[in-house]
Amino acid sequence: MGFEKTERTDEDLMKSYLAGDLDAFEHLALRYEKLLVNYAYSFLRRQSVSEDIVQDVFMKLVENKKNYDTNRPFRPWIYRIARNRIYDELRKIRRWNIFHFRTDTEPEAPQQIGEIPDPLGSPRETLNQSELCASLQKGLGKLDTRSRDLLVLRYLQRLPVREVSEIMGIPEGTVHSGTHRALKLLEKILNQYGITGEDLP
Amino acid sequence: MTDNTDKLATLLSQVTSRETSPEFHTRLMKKIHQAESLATLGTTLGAVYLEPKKTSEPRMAQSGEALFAGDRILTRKTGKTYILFKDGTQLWLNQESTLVIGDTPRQHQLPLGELLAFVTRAKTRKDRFILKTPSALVEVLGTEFDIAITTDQSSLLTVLRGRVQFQNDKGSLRLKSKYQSTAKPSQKPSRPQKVKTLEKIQWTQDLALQAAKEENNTLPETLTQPERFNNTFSPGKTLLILAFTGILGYLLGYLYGMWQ
Repeated sequence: MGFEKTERTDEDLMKSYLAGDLDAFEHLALRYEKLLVNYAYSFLRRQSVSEDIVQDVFMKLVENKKNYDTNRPFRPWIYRIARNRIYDELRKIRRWNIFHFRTDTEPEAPQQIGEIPDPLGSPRETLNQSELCASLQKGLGKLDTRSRDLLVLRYLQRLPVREVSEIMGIPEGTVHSGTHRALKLLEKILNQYGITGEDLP
Repeated sequence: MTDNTDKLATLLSQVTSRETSPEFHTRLMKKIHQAESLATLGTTLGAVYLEPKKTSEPRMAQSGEALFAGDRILTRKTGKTYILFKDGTQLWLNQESTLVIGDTPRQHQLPLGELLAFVTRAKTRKDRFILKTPSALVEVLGTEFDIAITTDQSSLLTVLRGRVQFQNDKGSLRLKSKYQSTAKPSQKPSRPQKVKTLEKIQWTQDLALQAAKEENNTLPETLTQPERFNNTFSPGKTLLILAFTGILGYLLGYLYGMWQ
């Protein structure tokens, strides 16, 4: 009949979950698990570790569900829990590296963060796209945590400035300036890898 | 330069996201269900059904399944199972029984059948364990008891260990271990009678055996060492009592002689 079923909001699902509806929780999990695993992966670069972290995030949500204010948006809340958990893990990794006299914070064999879709689809273009993606991922890894966080939340996670500001606990203006600065830094790093503005699609 | 940062921003937003591993969601939801549940279903024997509160449709229950408030466990002929609550309490269900899980791990209903309870000790009276049957209410702080509902809706309570408050709207009594009482509808609980408790838990044998086979380490001591609760004649114990009485008699005689 052409009627579109209205999607329930996160806040509505959370209210149902707080009332004891576990199916509502499952809807939320399905909505956010992939996004959060990708968010964690941007920092930790290990699929299994990222999945464990996200599992912890959801368990924390279950433990702290009574602290959730139903009048506040859900997305920044869960991202904040995830961010705290990721930063804890990063601190742990850094401590471990110091203890084992390791200077690199990146894993030994980093994997792809994802792929950039190729508009032309030709084999040559595809090769360029994957090379570009690898450099982009390497470049993101070279950024400081805060700059990386800004770019990941704003562009890879596609969150609005208002929510990024809420998640990171900084003013919206700082998100704007910080993102610009991070992009400049990334450009500089890519230049070091021999990628200039002309190479960018 | 500005153009390049715009290009970079566009490029970053075009990066497709990674997929999670295929079993991730199932694993996550299993963990969440465990965290939200009140109890877990232990070993099952024969036909055991679970009627979840949200669907009210019975389906075959599986060992290890998470149980929530309002869920009903139904055992058919030859069906037996036990339920492990988060506070350590265990409820063993005999065949042809129905147990309704309450809102907390310590408040449940037994409308039908027989149940053997191993209740962990409550810290306060507020946390006491309450079991409701069609003809009585059982209240304990932490003890072991067996309760069976007969066809005329009477509740037959046998205490294995500790003390149990057994009551209905006609009266109330406190039952000691190895004693039994019956509460009939609209009658106060009967006078306690001494019983052989070991006979009362015979029905758990096959289930306990199966649970042990499944390498279950949570089996109550009463089931793993039932002889400790057997109040039948013990030759060793009797000899010991006789010897002690003899020595005491001799000593008393000796003291009496000294006094004379």
